[in-house]
Amino acid sequence: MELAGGREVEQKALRGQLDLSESRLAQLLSLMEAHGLVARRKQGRVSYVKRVERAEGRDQLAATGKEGAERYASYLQVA
Amino acid sequence: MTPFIVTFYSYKGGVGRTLLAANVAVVLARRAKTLLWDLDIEAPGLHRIPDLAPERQPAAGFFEWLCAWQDSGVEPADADHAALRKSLRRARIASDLYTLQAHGEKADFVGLYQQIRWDDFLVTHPERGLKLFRGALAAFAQDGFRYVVRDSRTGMTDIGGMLTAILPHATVLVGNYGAQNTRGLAHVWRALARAAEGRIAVRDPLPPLQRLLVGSPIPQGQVELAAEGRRVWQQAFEGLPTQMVEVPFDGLLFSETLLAARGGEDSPVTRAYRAITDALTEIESELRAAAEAPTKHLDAVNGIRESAGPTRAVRGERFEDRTAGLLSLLGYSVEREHLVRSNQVDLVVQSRVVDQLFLVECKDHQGEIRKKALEVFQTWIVQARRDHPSVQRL
Repeated sequence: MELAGGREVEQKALRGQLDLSESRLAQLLSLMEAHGLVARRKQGRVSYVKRVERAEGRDQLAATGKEGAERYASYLQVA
Repeated sequence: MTPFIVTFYSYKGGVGRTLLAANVAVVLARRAKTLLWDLDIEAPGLHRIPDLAPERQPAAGFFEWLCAWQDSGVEPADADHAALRKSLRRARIASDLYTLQAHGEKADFVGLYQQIRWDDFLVTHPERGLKLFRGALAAFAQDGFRYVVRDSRTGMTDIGGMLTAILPHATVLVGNYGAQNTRGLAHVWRALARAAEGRIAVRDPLPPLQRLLVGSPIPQGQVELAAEGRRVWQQAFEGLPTQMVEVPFDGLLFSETLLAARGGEDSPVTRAYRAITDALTEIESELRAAAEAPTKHLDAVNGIRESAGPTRAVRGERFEDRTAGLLSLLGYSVEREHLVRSNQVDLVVQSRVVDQLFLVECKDHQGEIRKKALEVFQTWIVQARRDHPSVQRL
């Protein structure tokens, strides 16, 4: 599969293969992104998702004892 | 019981944020024990509000405690929170209202501020700051506080980000209708959408952040001006949120009188304070109900399995299928219904690239997951790591 190969795929294409509602898939991907498992980006109206090889999210940070390592001021920036 | 934590934030100063926080704290204290915490670290001033004067001035406040922790060299988890609790003072104006001042009455505020290595626990090791603040909140919970109201620093700062996005259940964003306030506050409102949508993992185990918008101070009797202000906000906030309150301007605010305690019950300002308090307590009630309703939370792992009827079980199975499908697409190897040290785990997920293993349990529930359930899950992880050291988390 393209994702397994580390390539970006359209979020819409994932939805078609998984039989998940748009909101449910977005929720799942948000959660996975928060845990550093996938990366997402938007180009125009198209959302892309890519598997992240080395988790840099919470799990990885928790494992290294650096949970919450993102600068807190960044939470006041619009993503 | 975990206190309900509210942060009052304004992008700019001079909009009455601190007075608003104090007045809301007065109203909350009529319901239950409330702590008002001065975290406007570069311009503290709660202790200057006459109505908040304690029966006995504290010799030390939060800054002195931070200095002592710094000097002790201990980890945040081992900080002497009992000492911090000694700095809390009951306000004379309300029996259940306590304050935590930034510093002691006779302290050299500037000297103390400069002595604290803020960057150490907010920038270089932000996780230390988080643990420090969470430890303090846990200590206040032990003291029976139901509400913790924090007056935050303005602007785009690290402590502001932690206080508004990470630690609270609700953040009240306060600003006037001027261009500087509007643009800055609208930016922060949008930035906090991540927290409001539950997309910030470090907030765990808090539920998604609730945001409340407050226009303050709004001139009274100038209908057209106020209407124009609302129109400007409508554009800046891309449609005003339903939960928005206006605090009218009142000359008495110059005297910093806490009108919630001393003003007439029917004054427009007092009504606005009550409206904000009502909105906050409504949020709190909903969160507590979601956490406590027997059918809407995980009482324990086994409990949820026993209570799940066939429909939920089937639904859960389909959800497991979909989760397994998604993880497979992402390149993980997935095993179903795997026995890990006598615990039946829904999915065991292994990375094909790096040595990482995840245990996945799919549950149908709403609201907060109780501590007991989390403890059960934690024991699963500990047990699983005996056989699989690469287990990350569940």
